[in-house]
Amino acid sequence: MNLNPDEIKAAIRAKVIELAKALDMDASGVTDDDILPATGVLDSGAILELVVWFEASYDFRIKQEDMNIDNLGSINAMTDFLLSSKQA
Amino acid sequence: MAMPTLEPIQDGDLLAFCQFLTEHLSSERSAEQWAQAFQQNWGVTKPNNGFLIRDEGKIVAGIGAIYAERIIHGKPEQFCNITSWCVLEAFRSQSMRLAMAVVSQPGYHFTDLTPTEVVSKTLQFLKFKPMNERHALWPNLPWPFASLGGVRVITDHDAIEQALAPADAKVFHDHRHLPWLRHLAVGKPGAYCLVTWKPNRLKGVPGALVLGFSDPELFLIYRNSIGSHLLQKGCFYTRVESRLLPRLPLLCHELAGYRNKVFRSDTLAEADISNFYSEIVGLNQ
Repeated sequence: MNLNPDEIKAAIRAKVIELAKALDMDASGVTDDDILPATGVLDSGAILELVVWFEASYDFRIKQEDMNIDNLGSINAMTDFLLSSKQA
Repeated sequence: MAMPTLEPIQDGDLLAFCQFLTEHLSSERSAEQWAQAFQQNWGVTKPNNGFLIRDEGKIVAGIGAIYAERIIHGKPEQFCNITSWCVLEAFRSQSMRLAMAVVSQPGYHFTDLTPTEVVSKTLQFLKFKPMNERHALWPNLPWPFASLGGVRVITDHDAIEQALAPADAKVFHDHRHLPWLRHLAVGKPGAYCLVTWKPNRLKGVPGALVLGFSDPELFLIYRNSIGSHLLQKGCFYTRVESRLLPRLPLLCHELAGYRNKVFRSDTLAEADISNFYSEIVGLNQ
């Protein structure tokens, strides 16, 4: 499994764009620092789908108490959270 | 799709937003009835009535917010109570944007006391905490000993306001105009507890749903006197959210399976979150 931060971010960004497209939204302008729930390109169901994809793609389990905007609210936050989880 | 515009609901937009709620959330309530919940004067200069989203000038989504100042542990605290979150299906990608607009406002404790299951989970992603959803229920029985001990139950509104300590009297004063609420003060001179309730039915049996009280210990101490009074009003049980009680009393049955109310605060605990100053009391539900 590749845990290169830039490649993780690119993969998350591609998934965000794919999920947004299904909602007829264009997420190509979303930056790595943008708070995803505030962008208006994903609804709560799409964010849940993103989290499920994230767990499956990187083969790790996110605890209920960790499932929040601090850890999963932006592309950068998701990447940092994944890397710190894998190191733990 | 071009990004629809997000804007605060100012007083001038309130009726249009409430019309949107009547059309798309619940037609059982008129726009004027919805608006009443947002027009309470509850001690705070409200920054808005929530946020809405327009697409080509038309309201397509909105989230209401009821603001209030409450005294908690002797300190004034600012609350923002989220309610009436409604998004048209074609614009559902905007739902989280609305919630973020509300919770990004600094200086407030946030509550949602009537969330759907989806809303509850969504808000938990935004760091809201779920509260104990159980209800405690006990039978109301005759209690002839109350008057022997000097315990009084006061129901006249002016007398209630006079009997209560100033902070509790303010809570009563802020809610006494809402016609669907019933109030009483129970206790002895110098130590009265405000109890706010409304009629309720459980499996067809009439009872009393207690929405709030000013002193949890006094409420428990005088629960028999309260129950006896409610029985005279035709209420065969008292029902109250377990989270509001310091402990469960004897002869109490707990009901489970209700939706989790949620709150977000850096400093307050679940026990500090009451139903006063929220849509639970501001709307006739």
